[in-house]
Amino acid sequence: MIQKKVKIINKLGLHARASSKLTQLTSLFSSEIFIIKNNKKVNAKNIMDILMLAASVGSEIEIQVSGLDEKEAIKQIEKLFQNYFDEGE
Amino acid sequence: MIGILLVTHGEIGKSLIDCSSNILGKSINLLECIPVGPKSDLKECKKLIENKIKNLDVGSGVLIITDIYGATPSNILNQYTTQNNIVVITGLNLPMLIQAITDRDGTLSETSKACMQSAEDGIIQMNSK
Repeated sequence: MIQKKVKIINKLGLHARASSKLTQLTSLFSSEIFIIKNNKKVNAKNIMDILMLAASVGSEIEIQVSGLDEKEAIKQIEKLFQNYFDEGE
Repeated sequence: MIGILLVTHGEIGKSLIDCSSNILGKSINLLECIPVGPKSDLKECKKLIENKIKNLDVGSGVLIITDIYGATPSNILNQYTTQNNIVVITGLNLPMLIQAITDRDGTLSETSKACMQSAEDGIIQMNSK
């Protein structure tokens, strides 16, 4: 299992469209993927679960990935956060 | 894939479909809506519902969602609740619809339960006091 802390840097945080992009990405992997914020752990393949974290800009979350493709999954997920969900800011 | 039919007061259904499509970044298959208004002909509505059910059921059944329990749309839908390929739920909101769209490869029963849970989970008083 891989666990990584990620800071949300895009202006709008994990809002609806960003959460949708995240689930579209996580659903490509067979690994189990979870996001944890303030001890709340949700399935990163379910958009409504992610939205319930209400994670705004500046929040720190933890990503947990476990499965055969965990290395590639965590790499791509981190990239999506670092690229501001392709929102430019 | 489960088909989804929204039967709502006025254009609520269409508007929620537009919002979901915008959030999910794509047009959505097997999702339709029927608006019901004060001047709607109930016989016409039933015909429309039956046609849409036929189109939307590709083998996994149809989840029909309406807004207010006890109002005309839900009263019309009451007659479809005994069919095995149909589940009717009320309390339509955006979390419920997004859940339905993104989680409909399982059984009709699983999807409808998840939708009701998402709708309920999305109702939160945000003030801390």
